[in-house]
Amino acid sequence: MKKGERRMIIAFVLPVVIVYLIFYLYPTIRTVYMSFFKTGALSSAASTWNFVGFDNYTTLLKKSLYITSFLNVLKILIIGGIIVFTIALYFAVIMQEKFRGRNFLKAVIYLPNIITPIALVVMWTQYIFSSNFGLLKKIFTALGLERLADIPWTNPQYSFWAMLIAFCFGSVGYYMIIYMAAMEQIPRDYYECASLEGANKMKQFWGITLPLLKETTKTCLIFWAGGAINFFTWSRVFSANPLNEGTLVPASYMYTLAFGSAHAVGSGSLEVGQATAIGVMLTLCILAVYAIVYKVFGKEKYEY
Amino acid sequence: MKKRVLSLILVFLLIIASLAACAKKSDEKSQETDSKGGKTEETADASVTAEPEEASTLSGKIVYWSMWQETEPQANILKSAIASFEKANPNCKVTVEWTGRTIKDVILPALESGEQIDIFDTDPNNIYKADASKLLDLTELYNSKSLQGTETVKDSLLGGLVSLDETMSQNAGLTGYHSLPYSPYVVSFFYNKAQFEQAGINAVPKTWDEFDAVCAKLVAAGLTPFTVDDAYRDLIYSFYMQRAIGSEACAALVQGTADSKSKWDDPMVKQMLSTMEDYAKKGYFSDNIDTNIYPAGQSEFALGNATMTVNGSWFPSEVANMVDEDFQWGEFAFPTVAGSSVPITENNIGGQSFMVNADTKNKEAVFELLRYFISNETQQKFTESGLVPCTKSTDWPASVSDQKAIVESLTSNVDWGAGMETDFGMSVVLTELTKVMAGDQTADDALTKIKSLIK
Repeated sequence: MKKGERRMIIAFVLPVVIVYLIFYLYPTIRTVYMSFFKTGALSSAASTWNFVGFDNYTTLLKKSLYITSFLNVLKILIIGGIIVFTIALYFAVIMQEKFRGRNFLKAVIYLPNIITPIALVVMWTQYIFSSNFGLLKKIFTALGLERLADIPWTNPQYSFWAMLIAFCFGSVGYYMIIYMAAMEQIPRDYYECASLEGANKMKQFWGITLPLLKETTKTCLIFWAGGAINFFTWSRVFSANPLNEGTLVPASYMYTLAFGSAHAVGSGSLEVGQATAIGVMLTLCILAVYAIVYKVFGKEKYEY
Repeated sequence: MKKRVLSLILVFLLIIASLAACAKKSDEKSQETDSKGGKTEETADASVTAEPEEASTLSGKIVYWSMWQETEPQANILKSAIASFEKANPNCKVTVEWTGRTIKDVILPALESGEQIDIFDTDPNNIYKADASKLLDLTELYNSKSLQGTETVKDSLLGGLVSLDETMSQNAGLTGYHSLPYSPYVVSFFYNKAQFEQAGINAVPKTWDEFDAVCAKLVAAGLTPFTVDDAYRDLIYSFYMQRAIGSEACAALVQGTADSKSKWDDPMVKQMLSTMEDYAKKGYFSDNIDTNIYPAGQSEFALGNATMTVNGSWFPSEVANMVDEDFQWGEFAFPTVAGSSVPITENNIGGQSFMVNADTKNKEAVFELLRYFISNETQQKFTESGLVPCTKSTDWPASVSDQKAIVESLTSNVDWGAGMETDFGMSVVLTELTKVMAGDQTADDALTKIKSLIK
């Protein structure tokens, strides 16, 4: 590489690197550092922090509420993932076929993605799940399924499943669009050839479509894992109680510990050190999931 | 041909959009004129009351970071107070940053960074707890004359608010006053006076036994006595406990630690749980008490589908568009428990507070501006906008007028949720109590479950 060329590359890359260092790396390092201290506020001067070693981590891991919040995320990640990816793939395959109303249906399925989550949550909690006049209650009653109609969806006992259903509903469209785009890249010849060889649609899906979607699935899983582990908005809005066991997730608990709840008048104090420890643990979880995804899917790629 | 039709439609839409945009502009223009007109009027009013006898010696720039959005009624009231202040102190210039509610998250880092912020307002609790060293001691302001000049600032404020700041200061290990509470709220029962009359109820309950009798009459009249949603669901039982065993014991009860387990053997705890179970059996609670997600419970009350609920002073303004025009609001303090000495005068009041940056360079001017903010004239404007004022001599809005007596008679301030909103309180205890209130679980089962979850 010529000397001038190298300088030019550095000149182009440097601004981004500086911005990255200031706005990403510095806060990350500070967060990790802070997680070993007890401190009253996020903005307190470092001289006022008390070093506590791994206390913040051990305290959190002993808290049943924190464990519950992690289990909730795990359920979102796995159960929610299975539901979303299955339905998204199913819709994406259907959308490959040309039929009347295809574009309309595609738009309807994608629609929740352009609506703010807050509005979606309000729609689900105040209307669809309502025990008085909710959509689910009406449908199940009309079908004569009284036991299903009587499910108190927004009761604390059921709130996790209610939240998961609502969240999955909003997520399917996004992954469906990604899968559709990927499927359109697969050459038609493969399917034609398979048809001539006598493979039915099911065989074609398992033998051609799914293997060739490997890279896309890998990317989608990484998106999904990032979203699920950092799950926040839905949890905050789905229940007015930020500590409701059904809807609590680590990111929401982290916020409560760092900034207090709306009515934090009580004796509890802010636990910023613990909040940052949650942040660190979430980051480690994401890295672990990424590593697992890369390990499972391997490095080899199909080229077509 | 198709293209031509499409072009014509698009041109037509463009013209409509342009006209609509113009119309909006002229609307905005007229609004601007209105607000300017209003401002001139307010300034003229202020000139009558706030014209200084001598030329003001105060000068300099004051920066105020506000918790209100610029379009909110509170912002308009504060703007008029600022205009009056600037007119009386022509060498002072107030710059306002209408930050909104996110101020609670950004104010401390902003102060830490050394940015010029002289005054800010938010719920003071988190600031007191997070870093009280950022707060200037306001004792001098409290002891100085109010803008009316007839009493001190401290004497002009509602006593309950002064003691609220004292408590917060003491909890933070400080002496004196470090915030100036305003826009107060009281947490209490709210009731529909017309439905009370309909059921033949002439007086509000002062004890839980009387509350029981009131509910029985409401049920007999075919009404649903009580509803609430998940934002306030814990308040009914936590204040029952507060009345039964006092605030400190309440907080100790919900620590979820091994040494707190024996506290659940207190007969009063069993009594509270049994009372909630009894109320559920008698049909005092709405069928939706366990499923109401905020604001479903308060809507249920506002639409007349339940007679009582628990909430704060902001409640009437939140449902103003939902209630009938002739809706008769009533409030009463949480009743007392027989056999307990905890009085009805211990209540949860709170509010927003003006706070001053400990590093302010313009203390005198800042104090003077704060006097304008809490002057009777400014506070009267709060009342006129249906908001709660902070001064003694100002009436409260009709919808929460019963609450003024609660503040005036306050002997001790109780934490939000009677201090029972700890991790354990808001997860385990609330979940089990919700089941009891919904009639899904007995008091005994709830007690056993709660105790079993204490490690």
